[in-house]
This record gives sequence, structure tokens and C-alpha cells, in this order.
Amino acid sequence: MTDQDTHTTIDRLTERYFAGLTSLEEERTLRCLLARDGSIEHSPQRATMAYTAMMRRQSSRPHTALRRAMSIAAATATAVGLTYAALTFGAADSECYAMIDNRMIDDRAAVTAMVEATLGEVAAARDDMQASVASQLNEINLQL
Amino acid sequence: MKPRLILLAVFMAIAFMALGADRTKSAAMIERHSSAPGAEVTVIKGGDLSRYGLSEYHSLTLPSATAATADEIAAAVSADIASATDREVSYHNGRIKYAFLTMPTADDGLNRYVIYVCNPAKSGRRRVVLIDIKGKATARQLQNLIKITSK
Repeated sequence: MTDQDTHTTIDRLTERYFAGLTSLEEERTLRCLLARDGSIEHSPQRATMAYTAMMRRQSSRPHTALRRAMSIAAATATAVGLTYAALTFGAADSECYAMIDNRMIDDRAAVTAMVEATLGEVAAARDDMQASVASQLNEINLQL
Repeated sequence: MKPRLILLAVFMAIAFMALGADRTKSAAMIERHSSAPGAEVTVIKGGDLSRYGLSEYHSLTLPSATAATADEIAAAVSADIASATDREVSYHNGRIKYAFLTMPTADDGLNRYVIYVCNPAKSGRRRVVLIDIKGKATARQLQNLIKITSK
């Protein structure tokens, strides 16, 4: 493209730009041509394009920042929600059951009887331990 | 998109690690052997337990555990003995026979106890009882409850 062609294209696109008829592609072309063209003749157009480009960037910045903040907030909320769901999964308020050889028993009386039997074994083991301690202390006492 | 996924993964990993850290080694053993042949598992949460100042009761009884299984459980109990804040333990022939352990307070602020009993069974096998209890009750209150309940 010769300098003359460039000037003609700039003039034509500038006219269309101010008439509000340019497409995005044409605006891009106009900006490129103005950037390449260093003539004083087109300084006002260059200044206008630079100003509008700057304003567009400034107006888009808070929007992008807001979107980013919102997406981080959404990701955090999702993470917190999923974590809470994972931590509380299967945690019912009240449960009472027993499994014997993988067979489920949910009869409360039967489960209670099993608990009593188990605690009975614990109590017997503790009694044994206490009897043993008492016996040892008694032996020590006899030596004194 | 990628940083958000990484953030999510990190968050979940921390949560699961925290969840694992709150459990005792014995509680993991109860879960691990709950489907073993002959295993008796009891799970009680809430309900009547709150009358005794307890919120969770989880027990495992293996009436005829192999030496390998019994040793694995005993090793987990030994690890809990090391981290217990208060312990009552008796040994027989170098093996733990009885243990009543007060574990560090759970994340939800409740007291946590581990009770273990191991007695000889037929054919060189062992009868193992392992209980994981959580609640507001003190160790003394729990021991009294065991004494009363078993009578």
C-alpha cells in the first residue's frame, strides 16, 4: 500500500468512524494505519483513537477485576460447600445399629445387649488389672 | 479455570487431611476390620447416648482374631497409647491385655477415649475388643458408666 493509498484509506475510515458506520475490523485497521502513519495531518485522528482506546481499557479494567473477584468467590464457595458435604457425608444425627458377620441388626434392645456385653468384658479386664495392682501393692506392703 | 481447580483440589486435600488427623489409629482399625469374618461392630450416635454425656460409640469385637490381625490392632493401640493424654494399660506376656486411653480432644471439642481388651481364644487365636468413644463425659464418668452398665 502506497502512502497515498494509506492516506485515502485513513480518511475514508475516519469519515465512517465518526459517522458510526465502521465495523470492529475497520476500526482495527484504522488504528493500525494511524499507528504506522506518522504524518501530522492525521494527528487529531490519532489522538482521538488513542483517547478512546485508553477510555475503553480503563472502563474494562474494573469489570475484569470484578469478574475475577466473583469467580474466586464462587470457587471458594464451591470448595467450602464440597468440603462441608464431604466432612458431614454419612454423619446422621442419630444412629444405632450393629453388624455381626456383615449382617445388620437395628433392633435397639439387641444392640443395647451387645453394648452391655462388650462393656462387661471391659469391666472384667479392668477388674483384673486392679486386682493385679492390689496384689502387687499387698506384696510390697508385706515386705515393708 | 486451572488456578480455580488447583485451589479447589488444595482445599479438599487440606480438609481430608484434617479429617484424617482427627481420628485415632484405633478408629481406623475398627473400620478396617469391621467386615472381617465373625466381626461384631456396634455403632451408636446421638439418641440415648447423650443421657450419659456421650455422642458416639463405635466398637469392634473379633471373637477369633488371627495372631497377625491381633498384632496389627495392638500396634495401632500402641500408637494411640503414645499420643494419649492419660492412660491405664496392663500387659500380659509382653502383649497389651487392657488399655483405657484418654485421647487428645477432638476437633469438635469433645473428649475421646479408646478402650482395648485382648484375651486368649481357642486354637492360639485371640478375642479382641476395641472401642472408640466420643463425648463430653470425663474418663471417671465413663469408667463409672462401664462399671454400672456391666452389672
